[in-house]
Amino acid sequence: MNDSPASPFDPDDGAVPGAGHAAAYLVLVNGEGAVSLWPDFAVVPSGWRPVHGPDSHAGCLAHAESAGG
Amino acid sequence: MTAAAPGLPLTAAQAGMFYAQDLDPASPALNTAECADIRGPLDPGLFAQALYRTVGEAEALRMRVVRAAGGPRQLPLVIEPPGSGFPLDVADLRDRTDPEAAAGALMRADLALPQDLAAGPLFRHGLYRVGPERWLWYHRAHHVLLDGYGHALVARRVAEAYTALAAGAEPGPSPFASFRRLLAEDGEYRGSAAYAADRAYWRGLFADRPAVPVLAGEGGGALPARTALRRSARLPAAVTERLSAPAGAPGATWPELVLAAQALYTARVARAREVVLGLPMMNRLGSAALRVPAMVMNVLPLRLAVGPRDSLAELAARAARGIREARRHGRYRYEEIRRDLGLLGEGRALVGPLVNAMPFDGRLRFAGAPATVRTLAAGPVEDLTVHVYDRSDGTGLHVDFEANPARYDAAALAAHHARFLDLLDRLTAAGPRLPLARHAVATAAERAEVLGTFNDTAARVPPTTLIGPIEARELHSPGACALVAGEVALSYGELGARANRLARHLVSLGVRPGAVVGVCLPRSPELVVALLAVLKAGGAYLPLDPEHPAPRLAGMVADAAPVCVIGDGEGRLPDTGRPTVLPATLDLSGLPGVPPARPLTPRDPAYVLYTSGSTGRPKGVVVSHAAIDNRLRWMQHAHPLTARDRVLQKTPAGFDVSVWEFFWPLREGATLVLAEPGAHRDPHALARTIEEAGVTVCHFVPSMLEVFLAQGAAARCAGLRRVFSSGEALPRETAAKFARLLPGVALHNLYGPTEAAVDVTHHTCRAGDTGPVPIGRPVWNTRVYVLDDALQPCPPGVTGELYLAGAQLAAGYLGRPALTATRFVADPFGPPGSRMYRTGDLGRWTPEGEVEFLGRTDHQVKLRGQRIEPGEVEAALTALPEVAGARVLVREDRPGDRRLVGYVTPGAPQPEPDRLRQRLAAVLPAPLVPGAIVVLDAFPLTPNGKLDRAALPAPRPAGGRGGAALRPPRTPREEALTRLFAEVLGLPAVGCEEGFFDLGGTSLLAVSLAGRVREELGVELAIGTLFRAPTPAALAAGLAAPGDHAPAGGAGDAGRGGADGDDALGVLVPLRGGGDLPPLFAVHPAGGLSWCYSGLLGGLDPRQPVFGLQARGLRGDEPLPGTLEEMAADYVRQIRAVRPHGPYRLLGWSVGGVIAHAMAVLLQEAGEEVELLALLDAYPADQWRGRAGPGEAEALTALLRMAGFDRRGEPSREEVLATLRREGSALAGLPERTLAAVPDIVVNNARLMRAHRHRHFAGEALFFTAAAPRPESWLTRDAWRPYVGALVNHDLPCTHPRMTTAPHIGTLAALLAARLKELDR
Repeated sequence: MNDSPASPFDPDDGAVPGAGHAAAYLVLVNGEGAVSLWPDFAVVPSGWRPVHGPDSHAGCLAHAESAGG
Repeated sequence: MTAAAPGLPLTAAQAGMFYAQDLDPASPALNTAECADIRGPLDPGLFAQALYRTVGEAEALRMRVVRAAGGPRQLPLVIEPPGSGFPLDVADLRDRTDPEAAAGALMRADLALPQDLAAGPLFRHGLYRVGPERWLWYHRAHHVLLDGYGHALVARRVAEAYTALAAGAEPGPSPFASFRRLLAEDGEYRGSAAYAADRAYWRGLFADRPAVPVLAGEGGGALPARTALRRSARLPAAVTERLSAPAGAPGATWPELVLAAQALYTARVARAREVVLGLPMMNRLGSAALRVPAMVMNVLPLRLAVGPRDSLAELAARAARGIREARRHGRYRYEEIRRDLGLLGEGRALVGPLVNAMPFDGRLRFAGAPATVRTLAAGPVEDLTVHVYDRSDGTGLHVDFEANPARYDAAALAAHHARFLDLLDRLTAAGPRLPLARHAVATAAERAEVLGTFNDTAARVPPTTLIGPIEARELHSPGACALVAGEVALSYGELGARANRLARHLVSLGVRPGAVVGVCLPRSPELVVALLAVLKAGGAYLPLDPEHPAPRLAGMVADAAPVCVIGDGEGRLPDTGRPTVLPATLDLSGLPGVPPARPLTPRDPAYVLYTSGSTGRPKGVVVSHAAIDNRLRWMQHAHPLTARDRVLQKTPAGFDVSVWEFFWPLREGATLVLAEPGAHRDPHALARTIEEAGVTVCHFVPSMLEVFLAQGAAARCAGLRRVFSSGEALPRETAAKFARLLPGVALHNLYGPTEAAVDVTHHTCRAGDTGPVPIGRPVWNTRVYVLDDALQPCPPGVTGELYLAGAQLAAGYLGRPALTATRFVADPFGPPGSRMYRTGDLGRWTPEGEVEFLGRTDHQVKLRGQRIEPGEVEAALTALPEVAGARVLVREDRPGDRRLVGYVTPGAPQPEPDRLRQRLAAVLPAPLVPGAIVVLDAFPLTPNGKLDRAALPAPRPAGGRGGAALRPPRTPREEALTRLFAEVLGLPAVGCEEGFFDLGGTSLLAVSLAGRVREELGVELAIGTLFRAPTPAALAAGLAAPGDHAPAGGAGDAGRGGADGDDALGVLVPLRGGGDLPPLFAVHPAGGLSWCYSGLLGGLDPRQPVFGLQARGLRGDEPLPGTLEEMAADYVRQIRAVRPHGPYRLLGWSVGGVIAHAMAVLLQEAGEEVELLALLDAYPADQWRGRAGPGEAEALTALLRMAGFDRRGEPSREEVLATLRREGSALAGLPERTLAAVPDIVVNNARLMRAHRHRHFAGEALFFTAAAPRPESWLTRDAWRPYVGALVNHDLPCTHPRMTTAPHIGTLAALLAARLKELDR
């Protein structure tokens, strides 16, 4: 197995050269102002709405940092 | 050219099968077989003829294979006609109850027979009549003869020949091409340019030797089994249809779609982004072999990346490209690829599951009787083979899973098979353009079970806070005992009043809900008061561990910005710019002792705990009242406390386990028992507290529990009711040992991160259970998800990452919104807008709905319950100029001995490991400081550029050390400690300046050391002390024992004088200070030092204190005594300072015996009882008087004797010293002036002894005679008779000087111990 299997919330390190799509993420916010990073491949859970993205992991983190701070 | 060996060569494929059989000659796994189900009339005689004819045409079938010098060869066999030995079994089974089953049994029995390749024939047929017009034709052939395609060619020809014969016609000419031509083609390939190109292609494609995901975990290792498990099923017609004509993926064939589905399934189950599937290839395109029944098939590895954003159509297209590529290089053998990559020697697999898609037509017709063919055995199964085939009988596609039973049990195989069929259905139904991430591998039923049934945890809890229930107790049972700490006990009323007053003071400083208050206090009643006060004021407490380095605490304070910090003024906290509150200095008596008003709600934060952060910065977890309240209410529901319970508080306040330890008992009216500071590392101290304070409930980290059980401490804990364990995986052996040693006590395994209010799952251990201890089921109002990399729920048995949701989630990380957004994420399965916490832990559901913990997704480690991000340690290392790069990981080079090891590449100046560790210790808590640091020129890397962890060297073993570190001991305590270090660490020897942790010590080994130190020296060694003073020298200097009553110059002020060994040169030296028996005072022999008696310690009762009396003048700065009487009186004063009154126990060797006798007389004359006077080969003055006293030479000899050398005649002091140093004697480490003083002391003692006049001791003398012949043959113990009441003698078979060396000292100690035991009664 891979040394460190990628998690859907970790930056895609390009370890899958054969895969056809670059990783992209969203920033979600819920009704209470909580902020969540979210991989673009998954359905946005109910009660959350995208406020940023699709964007790179770093771009979404920068947004989350400013949105939450 | 040399003459060829007889017979024919083998194809490369045949050779592969020959060697496979050779590996396990008794295995029937290489038997392949098919069965044709013939429905219609059949003439068995004609059928046999057709068979015989076909065999005659298929040369490959008529071979046997023998070993020969240049490799195996195949030799033709004569096959007899039907009736004369042709291998055909014909039976009419129609009268059997279940004819088909009977036929199946016959086939299975035949298939189970291993074949002798050298004998042959290597095929067999069966023709079984199972109905009026139904026959089963069974055809078995060894895989060395035939592959699946070959089987099909044979079956087709048999049908064709039979059909002709049945029509009364001669069958047409043989359709088969020449087997010999095929052999020639096969041989030519191996010398061709194409062969070299193919080889280069495969080597390049697999240069990184990828890991091979399989459904059962890691691939490789297992030998092919002799049998296989099999599951078969037919796909629903609709699925077959959708696979055959996939909408949205024109051009994709069903084999490609099935391959893509299997790649997806494998990637998800194995948590991999890339899989390597095995593709059985018939390997005949463009070759004569297309018409040869033979064995030429190959298995090709297909690398397939599986991204969550890919669609099925994209994956199928990728698979199709891969197959085309592979086919172009498909003549190169699977076995050779493995060999080229070096996988053979390592027993590693090249491929994971095999996907055998068989699109060829399986329909046959025997004259008027149609038949369908199915495969019974297709060869050995290393891991798992998926057979997908169409029988062309209108039943659609069939999917069979065949598995190695060494890897899969029947239930696991059935589950994988069912899920794969379900996945094919859903994949094709949803349309092939949807991202694959939208598909779960779990079936709908499994999904409902893991998300719903296993998480059915709803429970109603009132909206309370952490502190509310405690205040209710204060109000309603103010007199009940709330807290016990040693001698201190506080009632609920007292505790509450103190906390309320402090809370009011905090409110006056601005503390209110949402505000943070730092608390920097050691474990004490004051700590509990402070924590309660912060909560009562409405604030959230931030524990600041006084044992942590100041810079780290300062960083936490800067990060959390507390309103103020509560301390004790001991200077533990650096100046943080925050107001400091010192409760001890405040007069709060004017404030009311009732809680202050505060607008506190359950949503407000209760505490902030910092945990290790992977980027080098600890992160503060903010936990609300509602979250921790839920956790404590669940615990009370599940494992109720009563007012009679006593809960041990031993976990430092910075760890979340402490939260329930502190507050659960106070909420429930039970009693909180505080362990002493530092005691959490010492199982004996804990056992003592548990025993003395009547503790009923406590917590252990599993590794500490293991030590607790191993050291016998548990036996003293009869009052325990429950033990909770968490913080790391609980080994089954530990749980089993617990059940044995504490049979009536419940053991609960809990799991949870700080981010979810301490614990979220629970499991109660049961004696007799086996396998891994689960972390169990979710607690109240909590959901546990096991999700794969597509965020889809994993079915039971499949490993995924653990996500947590529900009431106990923390609010997030203080001041870290981006970090919070990556760990506390949207929950797709909970109520709208809810969050889930991503733990980074791996786990899986058991079928019963419990979770098993399986490690980490990342490199975070847990050592003895402490959560450690190697990234944080790496960041601290690379912050040092002498470190360029750093990697930190946990190694287990000795079983059970896990420790943190750092690897660094040098910056400037060149790094020194010890210095690096010291500098880390200044900024990191002790558990985060690597036990060893290794300097490397460069980090070893894997072919794809990742750190090659396996190639990192183990930290240097002890050895190769040198210099000052190996200094021999200078004091008895150093001597004992070096010995104990060596014993505990398993080393032959340890130097005085060698660090315990540098030598491979861990804190668990440290606990063992503490145990040994207690046994041998009677001194309590706190583990923290060992961290501060890790060498025998530093430890000897720093150890202070409760029983050490050291007069001036003794051990009490040894800290500063340790390097000179001053503590060892005092008049009264505690060899073992602790113990409650009357001490044994052992008087020095002529040389003046009493270290020789340390060898007694191991043989005496551990509770027996032993003090050595040593000569004045060893430091070279005081006058020597003038008479032996004066000396004895001096010593009596010394021992009476420790023990003012008798009974006394005295012992002396040589001159020491004479002095001890004089002391005994003095004590008796003072009216004291002397219950033991042991004389070790000591003879009264009368025997010596008139004989010459020792001169310089004899004095030097005495010095040598002290060092254990039984020799004399060394000419000078210098040479004596050289001898001592050469022999590594402890004495060589003594200061020069002491060594210089010893001969003078020897001479003086001899002189005083000769002048002494004995008086009578009215008691028994216990005499030990060195019974070996001696030059002083005139010495006799009977000379004591006038001066003692009685004389009891023991002979020891040794000379006088050897008496205090092993093994004699051990014998002596045993005899002495026996006498002391009588006295103790």
